[in-house]
This record gives sequence, structure tokens and C-alpha cells, in this order.
Amino acid sequence: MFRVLFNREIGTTPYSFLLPEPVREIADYGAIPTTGLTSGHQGCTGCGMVVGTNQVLRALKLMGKHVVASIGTGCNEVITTQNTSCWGDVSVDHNNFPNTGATLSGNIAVLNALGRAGAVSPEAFTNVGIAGDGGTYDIGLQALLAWIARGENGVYICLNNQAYMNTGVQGSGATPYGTATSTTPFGKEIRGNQRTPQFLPDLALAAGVSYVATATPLYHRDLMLKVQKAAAIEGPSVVEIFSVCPEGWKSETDVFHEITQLALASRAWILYEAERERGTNTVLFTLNHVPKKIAPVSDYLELQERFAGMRRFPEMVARVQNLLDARWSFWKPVLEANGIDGEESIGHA
Amino acid sequence: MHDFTLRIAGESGEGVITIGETVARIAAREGLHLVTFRTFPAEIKGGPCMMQLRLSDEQISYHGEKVDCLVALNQYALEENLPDLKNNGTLLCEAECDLPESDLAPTIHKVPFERIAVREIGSRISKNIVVLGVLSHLLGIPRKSVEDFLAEKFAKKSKAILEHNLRALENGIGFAEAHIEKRSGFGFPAGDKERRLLMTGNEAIALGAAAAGLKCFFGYPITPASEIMEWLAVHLPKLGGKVLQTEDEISAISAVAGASWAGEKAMTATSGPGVSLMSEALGLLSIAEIPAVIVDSQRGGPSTGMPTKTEQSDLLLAVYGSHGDAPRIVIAPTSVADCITMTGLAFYLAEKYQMPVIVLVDQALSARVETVNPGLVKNIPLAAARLSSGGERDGAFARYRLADNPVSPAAIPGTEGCEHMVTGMEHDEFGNFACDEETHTVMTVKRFRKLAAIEDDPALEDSCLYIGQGPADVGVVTWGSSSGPVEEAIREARRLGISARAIAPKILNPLPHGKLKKFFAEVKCVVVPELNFVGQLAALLRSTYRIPTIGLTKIKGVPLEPAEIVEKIIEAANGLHARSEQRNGTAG
Repeated sequence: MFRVLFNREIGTTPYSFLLPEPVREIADYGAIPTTGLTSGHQGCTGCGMVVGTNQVLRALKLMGKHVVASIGTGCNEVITTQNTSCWGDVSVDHNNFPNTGATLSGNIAVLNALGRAGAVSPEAFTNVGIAGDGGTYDIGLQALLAWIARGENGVYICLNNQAYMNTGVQGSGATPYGTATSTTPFGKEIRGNQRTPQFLPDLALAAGVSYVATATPLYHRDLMLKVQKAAAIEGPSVVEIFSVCPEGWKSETDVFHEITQLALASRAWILYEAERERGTNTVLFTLNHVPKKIAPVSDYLELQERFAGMRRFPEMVARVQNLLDARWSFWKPVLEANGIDGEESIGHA
Repeated sequence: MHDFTLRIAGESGEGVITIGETVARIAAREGLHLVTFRTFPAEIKGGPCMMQLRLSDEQISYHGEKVDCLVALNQYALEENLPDLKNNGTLLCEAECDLPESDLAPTIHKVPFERIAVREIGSRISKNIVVLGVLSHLLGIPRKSVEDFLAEKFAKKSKAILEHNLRALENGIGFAEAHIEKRSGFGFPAGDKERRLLMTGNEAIALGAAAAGLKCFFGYPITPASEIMEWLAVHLPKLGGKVLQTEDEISAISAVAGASWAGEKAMTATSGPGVSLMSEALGLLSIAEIPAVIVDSQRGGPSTGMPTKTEQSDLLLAVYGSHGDAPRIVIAPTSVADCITMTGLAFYLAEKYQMPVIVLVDQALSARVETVNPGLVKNIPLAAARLSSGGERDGAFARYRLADNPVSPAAIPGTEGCEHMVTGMEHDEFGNFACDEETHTVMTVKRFRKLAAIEDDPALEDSCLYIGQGPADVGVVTWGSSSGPVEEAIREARRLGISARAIAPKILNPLPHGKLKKFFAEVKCVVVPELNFVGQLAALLRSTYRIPTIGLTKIKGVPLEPAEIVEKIIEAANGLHARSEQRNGTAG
């Protein structure tokens, strides 16, 4: 059983029906410490993942717990392991590519055991797993779904830049249809990536996650509140972050804002969250952003040269448009019930 | 032999590789032989990088130790690379660089590459083309060749971009003509104008596979092997084949097993971490007797290790990796040309002996660009089609029939009357699960008898690379890409009057026993240079042939240098000398 809501404002709220008390509003903390992912990382200019990781770590640290991170191989690992000081006071366990979920379980098991022995207070720690889309949709999927199935307390962050960027832009399970990558080149026989990605939140919900959300670093309050809720809610939580990648998306380095806005306006990226009440097995979906005016997906494809091949084929663009429309239709009943037809809608652009 | 070594060093993204590739293409067109080496930064963007090219009028297999000409585009590049410049070499560096203290006395030209690019062309990114202009003058590269190359390179771009680059070239040449005096005899050797192909080891592997009839490639991205999948993703569909990227390496090799059993030639390519994941499936391919080709482009390990650096540390994994007694074939190309023919050979061996074949290369060989003579694909032996005849027994198909020939009949699924099951469980002739002592013994022996049959296969006649012949004091055994620097080292050792020769087996499991035993009988001591810590080939040789070995191991992430091998050869020769004196002493 599920219920669907939407927020009139952009972004989530501190409330969750799984929490007796709301998490603290980010602005109420006063000054936000600058000790997220600090200087010394080697992210490329314009990297969205760096901003996302920074916000994730800040959100968790604001909660006053020690952050224990299990990180999978990927861009985030490559750019943060040459100068490990960029992690600040976070304890980091880098495991192999397939194993982020499993390592998270190992970390959690020991902290629980130490807690039972009275050596530490398990409440003093937050366990977070951080992996890319390759380490989540592809090689790490088994470990992630199994981790969710074990029902442990922890947060899993997927930094989704939609391909294997640190090894030269090979396609991944999260690469959108029609994208040109080095393993899905745009040619005469095969026009770019022919697969349509699965949706991580769907997979996570099917596996039994307590809380799942999508986010973008462009709306930091939304992202940070979601991460805090994910950490506060009992059971496994997953937050998937839209990570702009100029290197792999073949975009300019200064259009992070524009690309994200177009992704939201065209609904190529939808901001939403879902909470599961275990007793009744009810899932409450909340849409966190309704575009003021829905943009055609062709606008979103414009700023990124990875879509240059596809842009020449109207039937391919139409197919992507249909996919997005179909995905959006999930929210239509609740929007219509509130007098919003989905085309001309509410709120901010 | 006349050769010339050029190194360009700078920051990744500055166009270092473009300069190197342009010089390489032009040299190949002039009919020169060429081997390159390049480093890859560990960073995703930026970080120090360099490309070295050695050009020669004869066949070569090593990228050169000291360089004749060094181009340094920044201070760090200058300081890091200056020690590798020959004493009489030429240095071209960015005008703002400070020369570090050095005992060398090279010819130095400080050129304001960046200023020319910014002031004259109006864009910093044209710097590499300015460098190309200066090099063209200094090395005597015909200007027309460079212009033609640029025209081809920018053919798909706007005319303005080409003109922009031609202007940068013009300015580079202009500056050089005004300020740099040409040295006589310095620069490109004369080529024979023969047409040669220029490709990387990875491209050669992909080409060899395609020529051998590869129909299905399954893979998962991994440095330094991804390029194989990338090449095939572009070209295999044109040849009617299929490339599928799987979610991980376990899936990739399992898909290979499925495709190969279904009757088509299938392959995967990965690096050490991938082979580790594939180990269980390697055992399956071995016991189920399914042909498969697995390319392992080795990198620094263990675990994630050093993904962009070279190492030869997967040999024992390749030979033994997997639980149980799981025979497989391991071959190791020594050059880019070998990558074509031996990948082709891998398919032949896999089909003929119905087992997995691992092609072991390393990052240095995978990424190096080399000239290759055309027509090599014609040397690839083609495997005969799988035969189901003789499989009929008691009204069923005996897929694992026991006979004198350890290779059993193999039917493509769907062949009428030949329906069968292949399995990773121990099985009898019909594929029925059987775990009695008799079956496990005879079936294990059957699978290992295939390995024994391989040595006499005529396709493996050239299974060793020989450097020098006949009796020698010092015998060097090496493998894979290390045979390039070994070849140079043997040449140098002989010049120094040391009796030395070398052998590089290109098949490492089963080892070419006859050829190696003959070699050991002809040399007085055995030196084994290789790129790993424990001396994996040396261990294999010691356990197989009970001979003493002198190891030379290196784990710096870069290839061996001839000088360090020569030093070891001298040490070994001196050891022999000392021992023989000792013997003579006691005798007297």
C-alpha cells in the first residue's frame, strides 16, 4: 500500500512519519561548519560529486555523531585517497568495487558488538556507505540489496554521475538511453547506449529500505535534510545524488546550475522521497519539487555533448520524452487532485 | 641501426599525448619502426604525464632508456625528466623554467611556447602545436607531413580550427628557424617508406580476436584493459559480432561460458582484480571443458593497487588461480605484433583443447603504441569446427568421452541426437554427476592430458622468443613485455664481452619443456628479470625444473630498464667467474 503527497515548497521538510521528532532544520544550526569534504581532494573543475559529498558529510556531522564511512572504488574514492586529510575527522574504510554494502555491514556489526560490550556507544556513530553509480547499479548491486535486506541502521549514498568516469567514461547501468560513452559509442550500427537504466529508489524499496530519497547538491537544504532523516530513521536508508560531471557529460564546467535546473524542469531528475512504515508496510511517497513549467527534454539534452549524437534523431529524443512522461504519470493523480495538471504547475521554477 | 628517442613531458591536458601521437604517425608514414611508452596520471584530470617515442630504421621492441631530445613543458616535468636526457642530448623547455643543477651538458633551448600560443595565436591550448612546429624544425620532420597530418586530424572540425592550428605550427617553425640552430645528424633516422600500421597493444588484441572470428565479447570496464572493449564496441558490430557490457566480471566470464558453449567464439578482457573475481568461473570452464579466451592486462596490485601502473604479478594467479586442479593455457605476447597473432592463437588453442586460455599482457604493453607490419592476421591459425562425431555411445551423447585423444567430441546445442549437459560438477562421460574416486581420477587425468598434448602442437613451433643462440655463460629467461628491455640488455652485455643469451617463453602454461630444457643445458646460470616482488616466473621455473635462478624483480610500476638487467648479467657472470676460480684453486 502506498500514499503519495507533494510539497508546495521546493525540497523536503524536517518531518518524517517514521520519526517521533523532526530532524533539526539546517538553518537552526546557525553557522554550518566548513568541515565536510575539505580541501585536498582532486575532483575535476565543476564536479557535482564533490559538492554532494561535502553536503552529505556536513549534514551528518551537524548531527553530532562520529561519521564512519565505507567507500567503494570509483571517482569519489580516486579523488579523495591521495590526500586523505580531505576527509577531516571522518573514519574511512575503502573496500573493493563490489563490496560497499557488505563493508557497511561489517562496520555496523563491530560497532554494535562493541556497543553491547559497553566499549562504545553505538548511538555515537553514523555508518555511511558511499559509492558511485557503477558501484551501485552494476557491480555493487548484490551487496547493496543484501545490505538493505539485512535491515541494519545506516545510510547508503549513491553519487550518480551516470557512467564510469574515472576510467575514461564507460557506460554503466545508470547511463541514460542514447548517451555516447566509450563503450556505447554513437555509430551507424548502434546509436549510443541502448539500455534504459533501472531506478535505484525502486530497487531499494523492493529490497525493503526504510527510507529512500533522491537529491541534488543544487538544493543543499533538501539534500542535507534528507541525509539527516536517512541517518535518524531506523533501518537501512538510501539517498541517490544527481552528480553533474563535466568530464563525462562533455559539458562546460560552469553550467552545474543550468544543467541541474533543466534536469528538474524536464523531469530527467525527479526530487522525491519515500518512507516505509514497517508495521503497516505503508510507503509514503513525497514529491519534493514540481516544475513551474515542464521543459521538453530536448532542452536538457542541449548543454551536454554526450547527447550530441542523439539530438540528431528526433525519434530517439521522443523516446526519452515518453520515458520521462511515463515516470511522471506516477505523480499525476495527486497533482490533479490538488488542481495541478502537471503542465502548468506550482511553486518555483 | 640508427635510432632516436624523444620524450615529451608536461601536465595531463596540455596536449603532450597529441604531440607524441602526431610525431608517431608521421614517423610511421616515413617507414620508421617505433615503440612508445607513456605514463598515465592517477588523477582523473591533470597530473604529470609523459610520452616517449623511440624511432629506428630497424625493428625494435623497447622504448629506449636515455633520451636524445627532451621536451619539458613545466618546471616539474623538467626536474623529473632531466636525469634521463643523454649527455649530448637536446633539451627544449618552456622559457620560464629554471634549469636544475646537473652534471649534464645538453644543448638547451628555452622556448616561450605558452607566450607564443597566447600572444600570436590567442589561445593557450595551441601550445602543443607550437611545440610541434619547433620539433619539426629541430628534428627535420618535413613541414608538409605535419600540415597534412593536422589537416586529417581536424578534417571533421571547422576550417577555422585547422587554420588556427596551422598558424600555431607556422609560429613554432618561425621561432625555431630564427632562434634554434639545427644540429647535423640530429633527428629522425631515414625510413624505408614501407607502410606500417600503428597501434596499441590493446588495439592489437582486439584486432587479433576479431580476425580469429570472435563473435561475442563480454566485459566490464577496468583500467588498463577497457580499451579492448572500447575498440570492439566500435568495430565488432560491423563484423556481425556482439559486445555486451555486463554488471561485473563474474557476469562477463559466465556470459562467455554461455556463449562459447552455445557455439560461438567468445572472449572477455580484464585486469588482475577482474581475474580474481573470475577465478571460480575459470574452474568451471576447465572442468566443463568450455573454450574461452580471457585477456588479463596486468596492473600494480593487489586489490585496487596501482591501476595506471604496470606490473607482471598475475602469473601465478593465471596459472593456478581457482580452487581445485583446474588446467588452463596461459600465453604471454612479448610485443604489439605478438598481441595480434597470439590472441588469434588463443582462440585456436581454446577451441582445439576445449579449455580456458588466458592471454597475459601488462599495462605497459597494452598502452604502448608500436609499428606493426601489415598482414599479420594471415598468420593466425584457424581452429577447426567442433565435431560431434564419435560422441554417440549407448544411445546418448558422450560429451566427455574417454579415449586416447583427451579432447572429446563437442556438439553445438541443438544438434539432433547430441543433446547433452555440461557441468561444473565432477561428471562421467555423459555429464552425469559422479563423485566416486574412479571418476574424479580419470576425469582429472583426462583434463590434464590435454595440457600434455599441447607441447607438440605445430601451432606452437614459435612459442619462444630467442635472443641469441648457442652456448652462453649467462642465460636470461623472461616473459611478456620485459623481453623488450632484455633484448637491449643482451645486446649491451655482448658489446661488453659477456657471453649472454635470452629466451622468453610465450606460453607459460604448459611451459615449453623441450625448448627450456635445451636452453638450460646450454647456459651456465639463469637470470630471471620480471616485474613482481616474489619472482613468480623464477618460482615456476625452480619448481618445474629444479634449477637455481638469480632473480631480478622490480615493483616500481614502470618497465625494467636495460641497464639494471645488464648489471645483473655482469653480477651473474662475475659469480660464475669467482666460482670457477674457486674450483680451480681447490683443484690446484
